[in-house]
Amino acid sequence: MSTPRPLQAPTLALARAPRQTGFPWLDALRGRAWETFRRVGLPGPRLDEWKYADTHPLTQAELRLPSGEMPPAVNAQVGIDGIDGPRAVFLDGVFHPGLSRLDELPEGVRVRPLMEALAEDGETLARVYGLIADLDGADAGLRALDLALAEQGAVIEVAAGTAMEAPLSLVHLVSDEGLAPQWRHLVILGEGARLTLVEHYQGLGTHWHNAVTEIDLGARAELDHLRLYEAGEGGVHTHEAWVRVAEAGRYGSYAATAGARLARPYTTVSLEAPEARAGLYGVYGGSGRHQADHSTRTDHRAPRTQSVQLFKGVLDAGARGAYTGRVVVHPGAQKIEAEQRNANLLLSRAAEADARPQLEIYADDVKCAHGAAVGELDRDALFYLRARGIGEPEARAILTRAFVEDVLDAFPLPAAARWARERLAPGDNP
Amino acid sequence: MSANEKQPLLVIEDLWVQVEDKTILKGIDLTVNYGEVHAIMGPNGSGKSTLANVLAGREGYEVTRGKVTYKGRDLLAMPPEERAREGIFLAFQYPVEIPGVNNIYFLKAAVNAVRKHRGLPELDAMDFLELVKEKMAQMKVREEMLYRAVNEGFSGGEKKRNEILQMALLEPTLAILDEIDSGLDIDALRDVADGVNALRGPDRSFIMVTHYQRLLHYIEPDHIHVLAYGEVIRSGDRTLAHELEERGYGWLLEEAGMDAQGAGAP
Ligand SMILES: Nc1ncnc2c1ncn2[C@@H]1O[C@H](COP(=O)(O)OP(=O)(O)OP(=O)(O)O)[C@@H](O)[C@H]1O
Ligand SMILES: [Mg+2]
Repeated sequence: MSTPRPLQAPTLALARAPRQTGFPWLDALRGRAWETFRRVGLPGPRLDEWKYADTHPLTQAELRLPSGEMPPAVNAQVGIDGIDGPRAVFLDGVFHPGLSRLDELPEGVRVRPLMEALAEDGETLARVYGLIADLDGADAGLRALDLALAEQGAVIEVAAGTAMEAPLSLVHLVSDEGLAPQWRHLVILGEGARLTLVEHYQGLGTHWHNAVTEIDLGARAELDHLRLYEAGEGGVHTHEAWVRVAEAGRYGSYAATAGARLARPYTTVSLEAPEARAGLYGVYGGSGRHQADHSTRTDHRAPRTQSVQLFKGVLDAGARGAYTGRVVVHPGAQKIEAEQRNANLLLSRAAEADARPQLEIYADDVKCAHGAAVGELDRDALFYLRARGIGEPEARAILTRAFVEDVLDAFPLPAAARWARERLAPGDNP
Repeated sequence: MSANEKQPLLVIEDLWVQVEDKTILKGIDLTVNYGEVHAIMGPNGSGKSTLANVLAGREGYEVTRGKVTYKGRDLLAMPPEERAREGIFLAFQYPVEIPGVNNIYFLKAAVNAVRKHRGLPELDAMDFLELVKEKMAQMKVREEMLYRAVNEGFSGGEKKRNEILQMALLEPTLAILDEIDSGLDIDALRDVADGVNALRGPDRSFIMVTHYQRLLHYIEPDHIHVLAYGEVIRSGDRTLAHELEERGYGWLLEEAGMDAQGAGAP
């Protein structure tokens, strides 16, 4: 057992006991989460799951929870070019109805601010809220803190048989120095429901987005979940997506991090019934002191479940990127297929990439494959482009974009792929 | 009559080149005037591709002595992209496959980089498509190849045609064709030769590396040079090609005082 790191001053200022909400079930849940956080503390490299994520920035920066007051609108661009459709916008930690567009949701789709939904439907939501992302394990610190304190987020429900064509976006923008909003989203798709959900986390200066998205997919439900993180030098984005997939359901995760003091999208998918599927895709880039840590855990709990993972990193001088993919095949989960691939392109000798495919198999009739590679730009290809008159910086950018292209090809929204491509390898787009 | 005629375009003087401590080229002298076609022949491993690569600016080759002047400028001081923009084109003996990069995107980037350098407006997608389709028809390149990754999965012949398509698009001043004929069937050879001949003119020169007389039948060179063990051991007019076809290289090597292993070479 490792000893939790004692809370340090800035984090303490942030981590005050949760205020009472007036709903006993919720206060009890938040109280338990708070106790868990006090017990396990902040995660850090001492934990195997956090081996490649340095949480020091969280203890060194002056961070505070949002005041809860509605900020004036900001000048920064909200959202991503080319991604239209309904959206919930959260500005400096608070839901902003003025910037949101939720009035034209199709029938069968409900999107409500977190506390509003918990107040209205406490009885039903109490059966899932805070329970998909469990608080077990020494690495539960951040999700426990999040559960204890979060009062902002969205509850998204798509009724059985409803397919929403337009993407639904959750936009989180922090423009105020030192803010550390805690987010909780709950996504429930009924049988055969379909949704494309975009979570966009943005921030200026020193800030910390800590978020948990709990997802419950009914039988044959399909969710494409895009997660785009834009943090800058001073931002820390930690986000856990906890997903359960019922029979023949499909979950797709597409995460892009492009430069953050620390960006750590963690995805854990439980394939609970036969034929449930997951496709987890991620790209990460960075330079300077940027750190990206894409971690996943996939549980194959039923026969004929499938998972595919493809993660690629583009790392320049000083940056660190890591991929940890844990796949657990439970007893009785026969005839499953699990594939994990990770590749990194190092643009400098002073970049670091770590890859850890981890397999735990307790069934005998399974197909599992994994591969990891680290390389540099292909010199022959670089010369070929330059020998045709293309300047070196552009040639490098072309090859860098080509490297991540197969991952971006999997992204369901071309505008999201373009967004990621522009950040990983700026230049003209093909 | 071009004002350029009989003006030197490329002058190579006493060029010595080393790769990883091994000396490959040993004092090459070669002058290519505007409008001329030079063929370079010679046994495998004699340094033909090395010469072509050094002219195009590929890294990994160390010039230990000599100089190369192109359009009156020090060629060796120029980075590869600048050489290309100034009109040097190397058709690769082994064109490089670039997964993930669309051929048409690559071609457009190349054409616009060169146009920009020449002070011409860049072509937009529509204009470029029109241009590339015209050149593809000339070179008999299938349109489908535009939308595949650069050279990826192309057959040997398709790769060579793609090289010639690039040459036609970039309209170089000095085209260096490294075994453009290898791996081509007879029809493809004729198409490629037609493509080259269509570009021939008083303001454009060619250096063609080849093992076969047949190419020289379609593209008649002004000069033929035989390179062996890093040296030009014989230069002549196109009758030399017939002689080589009949007699091989042995007699030339002997006359140069080299045996088959290159012993005796300075
Ligand atoms: N990068 C390299 N590293 C080591 N040796 C090299 C390298 N490039 C060329 N050489 C050597 O230099 C010599 C000349 O090679 P080059 O490719 O120039 O020959 P070539 O005349 O083009 O032959 P071919 O007719 O077979 O194409 C060969 O012995 C080759 O092995
Ligand atoms: Mg060669």
